Formats: sequence, C-alpha cells, structure tokens
Amino acid sequence: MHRRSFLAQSLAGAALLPGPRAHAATAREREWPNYAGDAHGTRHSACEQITPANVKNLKVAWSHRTGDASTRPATTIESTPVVVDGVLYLTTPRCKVQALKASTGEVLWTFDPLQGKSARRAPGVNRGVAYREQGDTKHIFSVYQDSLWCIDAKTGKPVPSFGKEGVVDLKENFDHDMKNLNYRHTSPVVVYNDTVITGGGGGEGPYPEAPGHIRGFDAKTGERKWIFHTTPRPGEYGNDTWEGDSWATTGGTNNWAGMVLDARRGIVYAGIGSPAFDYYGGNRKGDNLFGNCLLALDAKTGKRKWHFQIVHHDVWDYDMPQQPILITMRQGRRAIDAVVQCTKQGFAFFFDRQTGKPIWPIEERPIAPSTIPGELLSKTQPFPSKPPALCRQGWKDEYITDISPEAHAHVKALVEKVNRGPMYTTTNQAGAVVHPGFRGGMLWGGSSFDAKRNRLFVNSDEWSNILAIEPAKDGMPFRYAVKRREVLLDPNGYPGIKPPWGYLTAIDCDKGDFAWRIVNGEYPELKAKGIKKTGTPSHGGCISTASGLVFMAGTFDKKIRAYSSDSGEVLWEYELPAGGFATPCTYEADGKQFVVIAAGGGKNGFAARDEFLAFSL
Amino acid sequence: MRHPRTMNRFARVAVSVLPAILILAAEPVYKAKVGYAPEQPVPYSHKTHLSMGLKCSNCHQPDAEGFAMSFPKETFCMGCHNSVKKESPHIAKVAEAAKTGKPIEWARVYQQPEMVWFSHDIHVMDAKLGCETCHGKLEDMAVVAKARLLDMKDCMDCHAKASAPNGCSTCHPSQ
Repeated sequence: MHRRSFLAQSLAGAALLPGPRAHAATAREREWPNYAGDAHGTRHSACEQITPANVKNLKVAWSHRTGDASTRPATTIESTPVVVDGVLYLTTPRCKVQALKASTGEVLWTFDPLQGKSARRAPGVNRGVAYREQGDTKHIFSVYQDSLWCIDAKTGKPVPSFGKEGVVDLKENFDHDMKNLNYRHTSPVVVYNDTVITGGGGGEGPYPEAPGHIRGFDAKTGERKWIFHTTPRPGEYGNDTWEGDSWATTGGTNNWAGMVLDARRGIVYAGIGSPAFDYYGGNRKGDNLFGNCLLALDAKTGKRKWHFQIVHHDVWDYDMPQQPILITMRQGRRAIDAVVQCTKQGFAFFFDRQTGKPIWPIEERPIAPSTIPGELLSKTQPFPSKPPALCRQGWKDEYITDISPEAHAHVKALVEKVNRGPMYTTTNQAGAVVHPGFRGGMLWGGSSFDAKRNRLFVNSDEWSNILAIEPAKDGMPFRYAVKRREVLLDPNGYPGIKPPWGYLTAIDCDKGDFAWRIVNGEYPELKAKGIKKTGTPSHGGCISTASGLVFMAGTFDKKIRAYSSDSGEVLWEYELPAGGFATPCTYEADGKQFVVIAAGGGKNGFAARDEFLAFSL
Repeated sequence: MRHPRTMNRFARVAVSVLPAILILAAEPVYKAKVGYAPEQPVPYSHKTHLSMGLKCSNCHQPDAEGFAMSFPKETFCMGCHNSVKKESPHIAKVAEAAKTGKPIEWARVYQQPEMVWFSHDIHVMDAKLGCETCHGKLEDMAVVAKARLLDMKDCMDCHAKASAPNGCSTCHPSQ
C-alpha cells in the first residue's frame, strides 16, 4: 500500500472511532472551568463518583448565602459557577463576584462591580464569569451591565493594566452613538487565547435601542481588536437585507445567551437576537441579517465564516435564546463536528460547524402574510426536518387547558377574542395567541451533550402569550406600540395550554429522533387533586455526567433532580429553599464530587433568595 | 330570633367592610387609581406640617442604596410633639411607638411592583426632580392621595419627554 494512502486511510479511520476521550479524565476535566462546563458548551462532566446507583444518597454538603437578595425589587440568580483549581467563582443576585473554596463553601473574596457606589439602573442578571489562565496569570472576566471587569482570580482585585484600572466601558468603541441608550451583557464572555469576545447590546424596542455588535478585546490591555456589526453597514455582507437606512437605527440583534468557542478551529459561534422592534418590522423591511441567526466568526479577526438565519424578519420575539452547543455526534460510523442551536420555537437546528451545512435537511415553508399596514413578512421560514419540535407549535383550540371546567372556560374566553393559527401567525390590533410564546420552547438555561451516548439533553416549556400591537401615539419615535402582552394563564396562574407544560428530552443524534422524553416537574397541589403529570415550565438548563446522570433544577416545584441518562427515570430529587432558576454545575474537589445549584427564586411569584447549595455523597 | 336592629347593624358593618376587604385582597397598591387615599393609623396632615415650614427632606431620607425614601422615626416626631398637642390621642400613638421602637404601620399610597427597580436617588439627585413631580402638591393635602398613576406608561412617557433611557433593562432587573 502506498504510504500516503495508508496514512490517509488511518486518519479517516480515526474519524470513525466512537467516544470523545481516549484518556482518563484529568483533574481539570473533572472541574467546571467554563460557565457551560467547557468552551464547547456541552455542560457534560467527566466526573463519575456520583452514579445512578448511589445518587439517591446525595445530601447537602454546604450552602452559602450571598447576603444581597431583595424582594422589592425581586432579585434572582441565573448564575452557574465556574470551578478551577479548587476554587468556585459565582455571581450573586446583585452581580457581585465571589470566590469560594469549592469543597467547603468558605468565602475567599468578594468583588463588587459597583465599587461602593449605588446602581444607576436595574442591575440585571449575570449568568456567570469567564476564567483565563496564561502561565502564572489567572484572571476572571465578569460583565456588570456595560462594564467588562478583569479581576485577579487569586485576590478578587481589579487588574489595573486592563482598560481603566481593571474595567472597559462597553458603551465605548461600539461604532454607535450610545447617548441615552442602554447596553446590557448578561452572559459570560468568551476567552480565546489573548482575546476576550463580548456580545450584549441593546434591547428590542419599541423605543430606540443600541445594536448588538460582537467585539474582540485584548485580554491583557482591554484594547478593542475587532468588531463585527450584527446590523451590517453599507458595503458589508447583508446590508442589502435592510430597507433604506434601517440598519443604522435598528437596535437589538444582540447575542445575550452566550457564545461558544471551537479553539482548534478558531471559530466562535453566537446565536443572535431579534431586531428591534421585535413585534413590528414595517420600518425595517427585508430579512434583516444578522438578526435571529446562528453566526460563526473567526475568533481572531471577527470575520464571518458562515451564518444561518433561523427566523427571517422576526416579529415574534423569536431571538436565539440559548448558547449554541458544539458536539461531536455520530451518524452510523461517521463522527461529525457539529453545532446545535436550540430555539424558542422548540426547534434544535444541527449544522456542520466548519461549513454551516445542515446535518438534516431544512425546508423553507410558506407562512401567511401580515395584516398590519406597512408590514412585510418573509414569505417563508425555515423548518428543520429533524429532530421533531420539542413543543407544540401554533395554536389550536383543542390545546385549551382541561385541568378544570373553570380554567377551560376562562382561557376559552380569552383566546376566542384573538387570532389563532399556525406558528408565525402575526398579531394585529385585535391580538393573537403566540405559541410557543416569548419564553419558549427553549430558553437560556442550556442543553447538555453526552458524546458517549450520542445524546443531546434538552429541557423545554409550553409558554403561550397573547400579543396585540397598535399604532403609536403622535410624537413617538416608533410606528407601533404594544397594546397587550401577557402570558396566557388560567385564573389560578397555571399555563392556559393543556398540559404537559414542561419536558426533559434526550435526542438521539444518530437518528435525529427522541431517545426518551419525560414530563418534567409537578405542581403538588394539582397532584393532590388527581391532576398528575402536568410538568411545569422551567428556568435553567441541564447538565450531564460521564457516569450516566442528568441533573436539572429550574422547575416550579423548586426541586433539583437527577435523572438516568439512559432512560430519563428520576433517581433523586430534593426540594430547594427557593426556586432553583439556574443551571447546575458539578466538579470534583478534594477527592469528592459536588453538584452545586443556585436557589435564587425571584421569578413568577417565587420569593427571592440568595443561596447556593452544594450536594455530595 | 335576633333583634332586627342588631341584624341590621351586623349587615351594615359587613356591607361597609366587605368591599374594602375585597379591594385590599384583590388589588395591589401599585394598581390603585389617582386619588387613592387610604385611611392612615394616625391622621397626619402634610398640609399642616408643611405650612409650618417643614420640608420633605426633614422627614424623608433615602435608604443606603438610594432606592426607597424612609418614613420619619417616631422619636423625631416627638421632638416637637413632646409639647405640641401632646394631649391628642393620635399623638399618644406616636409617643407609644417612639417608646417601644415599634414603627407605626402607615398605609402605603405608592408602591412599585416587585419586578420594577426604582431609585429615588437617580430621580432626585441626578434628574433634579422635585418630590411634587410624582407625589403632587403635598402642601395642599390634609390626607395623602395618589397624585399620579406612576404605572409603566406614565413612567415611560415621562422618560421619553426627558430623553431618559426607556429600554427594558433600565427598570427591570432580570431577563
């Protein structure tokens, strides 16, 4: 056999080998060095001490109160800690950063981004920090609203050589006049060698908003290295998808749920949000790139590698609500480096992460035009052929809740007065049911990938909204305003759609089908009345471990659960002192495996709290 | 058989109290309409006190973070009322509160919902707004009544006129 041919065949064979890791897990791999476990966003841990056999013995090892929750205004915690070298770094309800000894919860230091001053606007959430290590340098990057802080991981002090005494003002160097505009960055930044990559930006209207340009900063000095305009300028690719100068005045189109990095390829992947105003686009006709896209950028230069627009000309607030996830999946004997984007619509789009080619065919299907004067929708929207949608899509009256005659009558009376139809039915002044609604489907919590099992674990909800818009009053800087925007609920506050209201699903990445799917969460008071298996909506995502477990909190029964990765069977559960509306993490410290979850409550009527709980055997 | 007059009295009390109970149970304070003037445990008159030269800031101070404005401590009130109108049963309540340290439970006229972040500090110190902008002419009020709706639309209209930020993240804490 010719030598070159032999080598080529050997390499090709290597690509067919199953399994993600050909070595025993290192100590760092058994920690949680990234917000989503690793830079790929897999939320999968190499830890194996806690197993399906012994998980029932989990108990609280330590808990930590941060001391800064409040009920008015209600704070919450969406933070997943990062754990490196035995130190756990978390963010608090008021977006401070704390370092704890990971095995005991002992506080090592606290960093307050307000530096003793009082806040000048609502603090927002901070889903976590990013860790960077180079030689002896160990830094934490944390964003508070519009300030990117570089903190010494050992001392908790700002690093003076970064930006201005440790901070970069993200409203500067944004290629946009930011006067009277807000900037917000709620998910961790991405670190790629000497570059810190930021998302964030403005909201989605109807008032004027900042755009969501993505930037790379020098990790040592804070100097801006590059910028990618998510609303492209004249001469830039995609500018012709905006009517006239609407690219210049449209805000939103930001990455708010976080990005992931393929360091080997040097590509950063970002899901982009809706252009503003996210319920009316008559003043921004066109497909509006790069709104609602999955974007692949060169992490060194910010140049676009490829993109896929998941919603053309969005007017349903269907922004990309979740960090993409980089997986190496297997189809037959073929290993594919893929990227997955989960969406509010309940879709999971799979792409080859190098080329952007869909793993399974995506069909452009026609949708009905809008009846709102001046609006011009895209004639089609993309529908992936696989896997199946993870929630109901569109509204049919057979979906009206049936948990009681009273609930049914109440919701029926609400929906009868408004438009109903397939997904992508637009609203008007009369109103329409939007299902899935603005919280999905899937949301920011994040999915998890187990390469050994070739399964993607995804939690999903069944939120519905009623939305109506109306012409704005004279003098307003926008044409249409929200007339009515509410969650569709029954008189007791339960979702107005027929149960189930929440699922945890394992997607078989070989077949593109569900390996298993369970109704997730319960309302004890409904169960007591014999209304079982309703599931509940959730805030927060799931993680998985090499030993064959999935962990998730987030459900409205305030429980954290362990599930079998193979079957979805619930193997352990614990009621938290407040809603666990965050994604857990797991790691090994001092020879013990811990699972940590924030119990911050503060949403959907749940009491706010400031506690992190760590469980171990 | 009960005496008809007793029955009528019970009925009268029920009819007069029930709507208030229903209203209080059904409607949070932030949904109250302009003019809402709940009965207070002590009939404090801003009209009287402001006419005597007191200023808002004499009694109301921002908390450490600048969010809420405090009610005056009863010991402060007794600074004058140890001698002024000390025979009044209402002042006796204030004196009792000052003595025990248990504050008077004033009925709220203004309260923002839990999902709203509001800072008095920013509006008073940064934007230089007078208290009357949101709370009306207290010097004319013997009983405090809600002067403005201060609902989301009211706040956003005012922000628009003042060119202040109106993005969701200005006032709403979480995603």
